[in-house]
Amino acid sequence: MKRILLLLLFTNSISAEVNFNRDVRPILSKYCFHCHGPDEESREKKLRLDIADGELGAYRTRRGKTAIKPGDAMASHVYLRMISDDEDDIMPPPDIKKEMKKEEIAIIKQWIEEGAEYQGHWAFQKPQKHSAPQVKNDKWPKNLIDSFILSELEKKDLSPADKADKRTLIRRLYLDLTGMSPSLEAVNEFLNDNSSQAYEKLVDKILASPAHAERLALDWLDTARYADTNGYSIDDHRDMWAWRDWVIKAFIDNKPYDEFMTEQVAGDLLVKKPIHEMPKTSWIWKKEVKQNEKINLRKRFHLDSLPKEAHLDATCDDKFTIILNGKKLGGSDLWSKPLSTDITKHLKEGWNDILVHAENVASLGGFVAVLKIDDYYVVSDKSWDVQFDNKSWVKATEHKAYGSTPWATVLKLEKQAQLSEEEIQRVVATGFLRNGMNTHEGGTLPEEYITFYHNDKVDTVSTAFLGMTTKCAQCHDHKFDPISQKDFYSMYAFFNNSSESGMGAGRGGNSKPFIRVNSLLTPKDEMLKNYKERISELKELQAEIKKQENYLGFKSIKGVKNIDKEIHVLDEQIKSGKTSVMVMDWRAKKTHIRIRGQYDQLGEEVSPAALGQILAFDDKYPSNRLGLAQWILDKENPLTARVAVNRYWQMIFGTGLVKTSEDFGSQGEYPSHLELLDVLALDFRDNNWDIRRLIKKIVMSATYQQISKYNAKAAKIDPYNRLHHRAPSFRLSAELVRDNALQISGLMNQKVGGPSVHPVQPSGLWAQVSHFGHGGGGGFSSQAYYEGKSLRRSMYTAIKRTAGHPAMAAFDAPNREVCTVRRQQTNTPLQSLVMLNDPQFMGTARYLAKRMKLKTPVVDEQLAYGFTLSTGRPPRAQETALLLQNYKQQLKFYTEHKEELAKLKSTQGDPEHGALIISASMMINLSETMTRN
Amino acid sequence: MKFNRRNFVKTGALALGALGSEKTLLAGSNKNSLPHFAPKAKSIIYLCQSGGPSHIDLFDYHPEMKKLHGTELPDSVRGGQRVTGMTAGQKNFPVCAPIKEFKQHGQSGTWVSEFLPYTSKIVDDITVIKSMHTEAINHDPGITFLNTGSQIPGRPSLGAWLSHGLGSTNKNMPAYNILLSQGNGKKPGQPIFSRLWGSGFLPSVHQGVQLRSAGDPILYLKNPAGVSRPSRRNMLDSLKSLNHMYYQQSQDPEVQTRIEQYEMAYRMQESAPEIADISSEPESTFKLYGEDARKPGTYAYNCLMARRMIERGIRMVQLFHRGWDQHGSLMPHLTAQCKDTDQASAALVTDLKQRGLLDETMVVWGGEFGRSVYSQGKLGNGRDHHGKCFSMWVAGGGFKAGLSYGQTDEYAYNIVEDAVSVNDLNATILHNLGIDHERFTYPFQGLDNKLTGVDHASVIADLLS
Repeated sequence: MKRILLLLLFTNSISAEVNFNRDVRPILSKYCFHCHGPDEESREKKLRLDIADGELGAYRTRRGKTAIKPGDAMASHVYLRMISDDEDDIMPPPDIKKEMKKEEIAIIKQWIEEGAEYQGHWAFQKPQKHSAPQVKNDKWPKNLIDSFILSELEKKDLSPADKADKRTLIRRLYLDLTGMSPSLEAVNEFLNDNSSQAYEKLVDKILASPAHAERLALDWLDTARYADTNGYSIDDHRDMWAWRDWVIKAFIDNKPYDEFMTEQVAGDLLVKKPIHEMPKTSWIWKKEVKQNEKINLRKRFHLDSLPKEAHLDATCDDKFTIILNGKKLGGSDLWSKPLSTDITKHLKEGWNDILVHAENVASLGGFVAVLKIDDYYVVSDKSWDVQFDNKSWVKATEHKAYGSTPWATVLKLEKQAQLSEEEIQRVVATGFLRNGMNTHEGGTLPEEYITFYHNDKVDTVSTAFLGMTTKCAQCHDHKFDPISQKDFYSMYAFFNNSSESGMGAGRGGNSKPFIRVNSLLTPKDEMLKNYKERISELKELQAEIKKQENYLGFKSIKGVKNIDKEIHVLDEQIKSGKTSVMVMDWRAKKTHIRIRGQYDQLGEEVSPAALGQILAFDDKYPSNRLGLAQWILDKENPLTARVAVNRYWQMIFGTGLVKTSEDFGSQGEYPSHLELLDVLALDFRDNNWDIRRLIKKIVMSATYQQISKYNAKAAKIDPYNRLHHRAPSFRLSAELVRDNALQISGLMNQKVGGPSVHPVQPSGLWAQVSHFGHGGGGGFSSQAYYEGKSLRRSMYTAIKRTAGHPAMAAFDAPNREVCTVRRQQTNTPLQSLVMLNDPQFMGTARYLAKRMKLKTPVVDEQLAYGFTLSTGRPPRAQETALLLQNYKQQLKFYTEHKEELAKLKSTQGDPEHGALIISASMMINLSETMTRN
Repeated sequence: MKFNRRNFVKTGALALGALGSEKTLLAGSNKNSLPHFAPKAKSIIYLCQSGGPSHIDLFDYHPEMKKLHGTELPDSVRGGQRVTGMTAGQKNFPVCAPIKEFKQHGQSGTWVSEFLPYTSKIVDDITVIKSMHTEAINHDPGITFLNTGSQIPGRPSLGAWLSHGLGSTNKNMPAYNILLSQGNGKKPGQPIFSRLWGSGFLPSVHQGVQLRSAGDPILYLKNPAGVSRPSRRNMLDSLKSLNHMYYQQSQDPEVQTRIEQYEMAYRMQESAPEIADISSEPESTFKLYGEDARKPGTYAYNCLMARRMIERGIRMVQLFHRGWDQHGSLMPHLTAQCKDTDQASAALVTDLKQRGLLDETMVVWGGEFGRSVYSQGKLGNGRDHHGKCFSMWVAGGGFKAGLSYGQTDEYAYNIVEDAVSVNDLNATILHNLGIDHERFTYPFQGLDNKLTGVDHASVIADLLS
């Protein structure tokens, strides 16, 4: 009886045709897949509701009960269990604490009655071609995008908003595509250009500007979790800015997305030469020895796997014999006749031992060896042990040359092939994979941390290029998407095949493998100049600290010493003339499944492979990261182009066509315009993955050029504007709020690329959380205290992961610990405090005031000028009145309170100037100034 | 566990027949409206002791351990347990008994070390949990786990969850506030990170706001030099009018919100310094908390701040005190850490009780793990990290008082009974605030995420008053 009543209730909410992927799958995924989905481990009652057919599929009958009977809801036990009033029968079970809404149950019923048709998850089906849909208002569309947008609007009886005026459009274009307001000259030029191509010309000009490349790079830095410190615990300094320069350069050159991706995932494998230089090698032992004294040398080294080829070159100043893993390799009795032999078959996995016996040596002994094992070297250096006359083993000492002959000449080693500038940059690109966090905490276990590092790489690559939450399969099969735990570790294996270890710091906080490079974007002397400036900045800070006995609760000397370490890191780079960047290399290693994700619980061994249930990773792809890149780019891969296109759509409109840009799986949101997404994805892919062309297409659309004014009537039907019934308006992101203020005030330093900079922040923020004095650099200080410095774009601000710049954190900038493709958008009082009181923003107000004053002596005009710079339009009459009223109030105040005026910087005792500064501050704080509309 | 057929079938027992309930289907109840049930506590003060305080030397007393002093820790106790890289190479693992005497205190007879004379006096108001355990053995994952329920970065902290779920009860201050101090033991102590009070995937408005001891109590709180409060007010009034005009043009609701946020910022400029202004505190306050409480930046001062904030209806205050990482210099450094914290921690509980605030305020004391019974280096020199058991204490707001909970073996190495995981404790804390931790979820990357993670966590009923 109860049941019948309930059914009556549901009939009310039946709507138009039900679409499985859009309407049904999200419901099943939310409530059912956890126990009746892809994960075998947690599956209940041998039932899967993510597939229709087969023994486990939804249509199956078990013990006389059919889970879903197409066309007959009342014979479908899935439905009956959903509407059961029995606590023991109802699904989902009460203890999972998710109760279905009645609309959701009604959709399931309708779907079953309409035939319970299953479709594969939309994102795993290849994008389809679609022609432009018919629309009623056929005058409106400017390009294909508009037809798709308008068609959906018309279905809901909505019409697009009016076209925005030229002032709005130019400001919108500049903010969206460069992150900063246009100059007034640019505005005037555009306003005066009455040609029909004026808008397109403007778009082309902006797209070709370096500022646009920087804007694109900024989003990519979030995705790539770029930062200037190592992140875990000690959180010390690292150098990755050469990789950031690579990204900016890639966007300046409009590098096609396929190359952009491939180089970052596998650039080192594109370069078919060893990427590591031979390490420093020396003659070793050097000690006066007696005639006929016996000398032994030994070295133990570890191989994770057997090499493809390995070669030994060695010589000694007298008779010697070399034994490798117990096997005599031979020797020589003349130093000019070195031993040169293939050792591939004598090496073994794990520890290897090399032993050298020398005798009858001259008074000053010397030995030199180079073992080249694939792309890896073991060379004679002070890490070897030496033994004289069977006494105890001691560490060997090094000396440069034997007599006047350098060892390399004696060994007749072939000169290593040099990497070209282009090849070096391809290796630099792989810094993308190394941007993740590192630990330099004492006492950590390398085996544990290396799993953290590679897990993060799997997550980053999956999220960035595939929109997949692969990381959910780290401990068990994915609960919602076809990704097994084995898939996870197969992907992990791509990244495990490198010489990276879970151990701590190498040089300057960078850990192996890393290379020394110069940036393409930042000439060497400019880099050196930057470093020298930074050193003088740090020295000034040291001097400041030295004046006090205690600094921020610590003995001053500790702070001074810590800063010495930071200076040392910079000095090293100045000496070498190069910066360092962490990259990927190739070293075959075994990979095992980690049972329940535990680093030390090894399961089955796996080989590198991508997500095979989405697209088979077969033999046509090489079994390395190059193969992964090819698989990502395969025309059969349903995700890659959609994910990329969606993210650019998100950058421009604030929300993607798929809102959950990080998750295209079954828990993600169904696209607002699937056909449009597909059309754009195919167009992008088939036109050489041309990013600039894609962006141009979007901003040339009528959809983009609408006004943003809120429309209460349309909002009732389309509350989140997902149908694009108007242009969106949203607050600028953290970096752009500041960049825009710098731009408006005329302070912005337009320099592109280079080492990170340190704008003003409240003192002591780093010292308060850091374990300084450990791991070198980045612990204690240190931000420049001096205005006028570091007026660079915020994307260059040094990011310390454990203590982000507070003005950025307040505006939702992520801390770059993990890959982020979608930021939060909040509106908080702390933001207001930053905008009003942060010396950086107050500085922009002072400079804006100065700019206003230089422009004209007439107050009304000064105010109008500042307002126009800030909002992109002249003030209306009412606004002018308010601006003037505020100015007069402030003028009166400063005239009456000279003591306050004296405290306000840069006024030279002029109350009018004081009033202008406060006016300027107000303009920078206008909601309109920080909003893209 | 409530008995029903579903559970019954799972446990494999005989069918008992349907136990129908009167629950009406789809009553339209909103499962996410908070609190889920009547809360015991309104707010929480979390005294986070960063570095890993030694449970062996402070709370987890085993009289028989004295006899074991200097003997080798048996393999049967260690059970092949992994140790950190710092002692992994050690040949011997000599047991080091507590380096100070213990006594029983209060009516409850709780054992407390002589390191903590003040805490000894409040034992009847607190519950010592001796059976805490964690998965982590290094600081970064350990303290991240304690504060966010996961070792992996990227998840919201307890305070961010509370700000998201319950909001602030003080309209002039953020819901979640952070105070940092550096201990005199190990200096500087292990690093801490903004992620420990971060908002993870929750909106960033919920991140903890760091209150500072020097300069502005909140970053950027103070007007720039030369901008006075009345002239700021004038400017804000004009700004408000201009923003309102923009609102009329754009009809953008965000503008309205922004106008309100500027007003709240203005109010914060008054309320935050008022909290930090201790000039009105009577002498008795400093007698209770100790003279350190006069010095901004000390742990004692931060305890006093915490009480002042709780009085003003703030949801959560969290202190981080660094320096509890005694790998070496065990005696002098532990002495210094206890001197920093003992009196003020106890004073805070006493003070809240006197003011009638303890009933609705939870106080939680503890760090990311405990320390090893075996010596690091030579006997008595120091102790390595230990996650298999450690001690914390809780008080007020729904917790039992005067209890010692949980039992470890005579080496204070393994838990013998009543294990409490970090997420069990978090589930219990949420329970006291009227929140069912399993229903308190936030969707992100395809999952309904919980503070208490994916592994099973339970409210520890024995800890509830």
